[in-house]
Order: sequence, then structure tokens, then C-alpha cells
Amino acid sequence: MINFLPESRKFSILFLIFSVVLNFYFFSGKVFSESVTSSVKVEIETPAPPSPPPSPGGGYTPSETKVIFTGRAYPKSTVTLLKDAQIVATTIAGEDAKFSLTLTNITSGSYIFSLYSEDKYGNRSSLLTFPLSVTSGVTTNVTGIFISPTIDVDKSEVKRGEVIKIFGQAIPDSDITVIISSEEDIYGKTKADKIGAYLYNLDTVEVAMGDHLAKSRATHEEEISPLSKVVGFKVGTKTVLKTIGKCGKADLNCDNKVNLIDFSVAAYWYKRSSPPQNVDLNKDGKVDLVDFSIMAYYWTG
Amino acid sequence: MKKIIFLLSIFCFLISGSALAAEIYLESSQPEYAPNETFNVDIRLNVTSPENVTAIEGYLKFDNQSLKAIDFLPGNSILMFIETPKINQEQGIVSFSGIIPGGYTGRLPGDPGQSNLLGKIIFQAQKTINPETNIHFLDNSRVLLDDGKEAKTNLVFKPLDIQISSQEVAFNPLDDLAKIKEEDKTPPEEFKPEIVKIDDQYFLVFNTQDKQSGIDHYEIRFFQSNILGQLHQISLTEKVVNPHPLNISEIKNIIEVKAIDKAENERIATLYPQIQIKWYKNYWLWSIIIILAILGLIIWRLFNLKKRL
Repeated sequence: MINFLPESRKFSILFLIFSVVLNFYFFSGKVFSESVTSSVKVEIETPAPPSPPPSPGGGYTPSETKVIFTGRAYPKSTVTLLKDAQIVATTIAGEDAKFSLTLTNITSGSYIFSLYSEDKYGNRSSLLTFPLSVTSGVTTNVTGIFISPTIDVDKSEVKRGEVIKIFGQAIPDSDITVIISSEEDIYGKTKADKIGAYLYNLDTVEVAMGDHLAKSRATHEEEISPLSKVVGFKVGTKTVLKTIGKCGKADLNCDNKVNLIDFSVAAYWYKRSSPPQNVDLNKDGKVDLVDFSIMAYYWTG
Repeated sequence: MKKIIFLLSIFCFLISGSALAAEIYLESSQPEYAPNETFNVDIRLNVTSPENVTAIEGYLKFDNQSLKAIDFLPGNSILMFIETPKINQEQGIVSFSGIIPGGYTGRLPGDPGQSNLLGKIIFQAQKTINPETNIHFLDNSRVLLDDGKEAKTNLVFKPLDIQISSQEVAFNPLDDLAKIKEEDKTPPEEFKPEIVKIDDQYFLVFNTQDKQSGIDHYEIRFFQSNILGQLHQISLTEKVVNPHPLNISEIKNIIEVKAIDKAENERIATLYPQIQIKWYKNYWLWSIIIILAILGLIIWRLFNLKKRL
């Protein structure tokens, strides 16, 4: 049809089609991306205006500044709250995985709050961060928090054709989607049990040889969690059971945490020559912004 | 018809790049300032989910004939600064670098504030023949996502245009810096220093935030207690940076770290000796033992003398 049109109009129509396709590509990238609109909401409780003092000499007591975090983690798991990258509070979630954390004695200002939980296997969830402006004398409620599942594998390398177990913990009875990166992503479905534990047996017969990454997300009552941390494994010619490593990524002093101490060690070597190998996280011979970015990504507080 | 198709296609093409990953922009309260007025320029970050910004390195260029960079205020910043932001007035560059532990994915729905401030630069307008000036980011500025990925596409650094009027303000010229310092009556946040040992070297690790004017500097004092339990200062080190190397004798002392903000409010954190001194190395203890021994000897001699008499 286009061949019968004048050249100039042909060009305009082709250009229009190209632009529409380009728009669709960017638009669909936003709509169908792995990220989902968060269920987290911030609500401010404005304090009631002070009533007049009952008698002479009676004073006005200003309202307390509070921030309250409520959401769901895993049954009986420890939920840790960070304020500006440092641990300020912990709590234990209930049998139903619900938790609530209240922070008082806080000045007004902008903060980066972060939350994570630790499952019964000792694995930590990914960090959920909340930038928040706190106003003096006001209670700020952050609700609808849905901690992402934990994830781990039983083998660091699996012989192709054998099964590798992918497991973790999430909200009880939630639907778990496991995503394995391969030439084409592989999606697996399973369900968390009454205590939130889930297990997915991946048959590697159709998984390409080489390194792969696995992550998961939970769906519960039409709410979807953020993606879990990523765990790596290899499909090869032999099976190697996973052993617990001494030091995690960016954990420079091997205390099972990535926090201010590791940051300070890296800061000491920032732009200095010949940094120690364990401090140079991307092994490029220097400690620069990239190493700090990696540290920020693996931060635990 | 041709024109409509052409305009429509241009429009579609122009809006096709609107899926912005991250934007760092500059904000000022006014577009124009008079010479000698001091004003602040906010550096802010916008992120479109699912992008997760973990580290930023910024190099801001300004015309050093039209503007004088007075100070960098880190107060209320969402960044954990890797090193103290620097001002190079000669070259007209302000640089900063920092991380956002856990990453930043954008504003939270319902957040009453913007919660995206990276820092404030205080500038003073100068008398200049160029009334129009500009502050912009240099090409070596970087934004990193997740675990070190460079945000090359869909990343925008927005500059700021400033006009400098020819007339000075005679009465009460704007002074944002003085105003910020005057309003800041709150000391820095509480913090807890720690001593760590890495490869046989001890370090004092400390960090805190100030939500108003920002941290200006830290000081470290070392104390020892005397036989009466009174503390006396051994040494003072001003303007220390984190981490601060310590020698083995220093970690046996009481260490006081003082965080001072730009308005000179202070917060002190104290660290008690990390190493318990073995009793036979405690020279105070030996002095007490010797004195008691001498006293004991004197008393015994006096007692014997009295007996003989």
C-alpha cells in the first residue's frame, strides 16, 4: 500500500510508524518491567490542636515525633530497621508474619529508612529503603510494607540434568515465582507453606551450561513483593554442594555485616594506590565509586 | 495531510525518550541575585523506578568571576559522603561523591517532603560584567545503579542559569548561609564510634548526620584518668576524617569524638579503653603498692620502737 504513495508521504508515514514503535518500546518497558507498583503508603497523623490549659500554670506538652513501620515479613523472623544506614531497632514478626516498629526520639529532617528480615536459615532479605521526610511533633505511618522473600540454593554447581533446590522463606501461603536467568528467563511457580518456607526443584535438563542467577518474589492477596536478592549457581559437568563462605560480598572485616566499618575501610583506601584485594570489590586495581556502589548494594547495616 | 503526519511523527519521536532513569538537577529560590548576596543552590535527585541509584559522583562547574563558592552544606543529604565535598574556587569546580546504602528508587507516595536532597552549595554573587551565568555538571559526573552499573542511558544532569543584577542591595542583602546557621539550634544526631583492627592497624570509625546545616568537622580528644579517677586530656586532634588511624597506646585511653555542625552545635560520643591493661603493667597500681609498703614499713618500725620504749 505504501508503494503507491508519493515519496515524501511514504517517508512521513514510515517515520511515524518508527516513532510509535519507539514509544511503545519505552512505554512497555515501564509497564511490563519487573518492578511493580509498591503497596507502601505514607500517612501523616496530624496532632489535634492543643486545648487550653485547665488552670493557671498548666502547660502545653508538644506532640512526640514518631515514625511507625508496619508490614509483613516471615513468621517469627527478626525484622531490622536502619536509619541512615545504621541499625536503630529490631522486632520479631508474629506467627502471621506481621510486624510493627515504632521509632521515637527523632528530629525532623529527611532520612533514608531501610528494613530487612532474616529467615530461619539465617539468610537475609534484600534491603527495602524508604526515603522519608519527618516532621516535628507528627506521627508518620509507613504501611503496606512487604518484605521480599529470602532465597538460597543447595548447590554451587549442578551437573546438567540433575535437580537443584531453590528455597527460602516468605509470607505463609503466598504464591512464589522463581525467575532463573538463562538465554531466556525461566519462570517457576511454587507455594510457601504454613510457616512461609518454599522450595522449588529446578530440573536443569533444559538449562544452558554456564553461570545463572535466581531470584524470587511472593504474591499474597493481590499484593506482590519486591524481588529477592539474587543467588548464583552454575550448570556444569559436576555437582558441588554449597558451602557457607567465610566473607560475604563487600563484608571487608568478615563480621557477616556490610556496614559503616566496611565503608570506613574502603574510604581509607579510596584513591590510594595498591589497595588490598578484598577491598577492591570489582578487582580493577583501585578503590573508586564502583566499589562503593557495590558496597551500597550489599549493605546490611 | 502531509504536514499533519510530519508534525505527528516529530511529536512522537520527541516524547519517545521520556522514560527517564535518573535526573540530577539544581534548584535555587530565585533566578536573579544582586552582587554580594549569598544564596544556596540545592542539588537534587529524581529517579524513575525500577532504577536503583546506589552511588553518585558530581563535578559542578561555575564561573569563578561571577560566583564565589563559599561552602558545601551536607545537612539533610540522602548521601553518605565518601570524602568531604571539595570547593576549588580557582578552577570553579565543586565536587562531591557518596553512596546511598540500600539504594534510592524514588519518592515514596505520600511523603510530605521531597527527600531527595544531595547537598546545598552556598554561592556569593560577584560584581561582574557577565550578568548571565550558569552552573552545570561536567561530563565526568557519574550515577551508578545497583552493584556498580553505570547509568549511561536515560540520565540527565540539569544545569541552572543565574542572573546577576548590576545593582547591589544596599539594605539587608540576602544571606542564606547566615539564615541556615541561625536557624540550626539542633546538635548532630547521636552516634557510636568504634575501634576496628584491619591488617594489624587500628582505626577509629565514626559517622553521624546533621539534619539542619550539616556536619562541619570532627575532633578527637584522648583522656587518661589519674589515681583519683579524674580525667585529664592528653591530646586533641582537630578536623579528623573517618576512619582515623590509632596506635596501640591510644586505644588504651578514653577517646572522645566530637561532631560539630556548620552552626557550631556539638555532639560528643565517648569510647572507653578497648584494651584492659594487665595488672603488672599498671604503673599506678605499682605506685600504690610501693607507697603502702613504705607506709607499712614505717608503721612497723614505729610500733617496734614503741615496744622497746
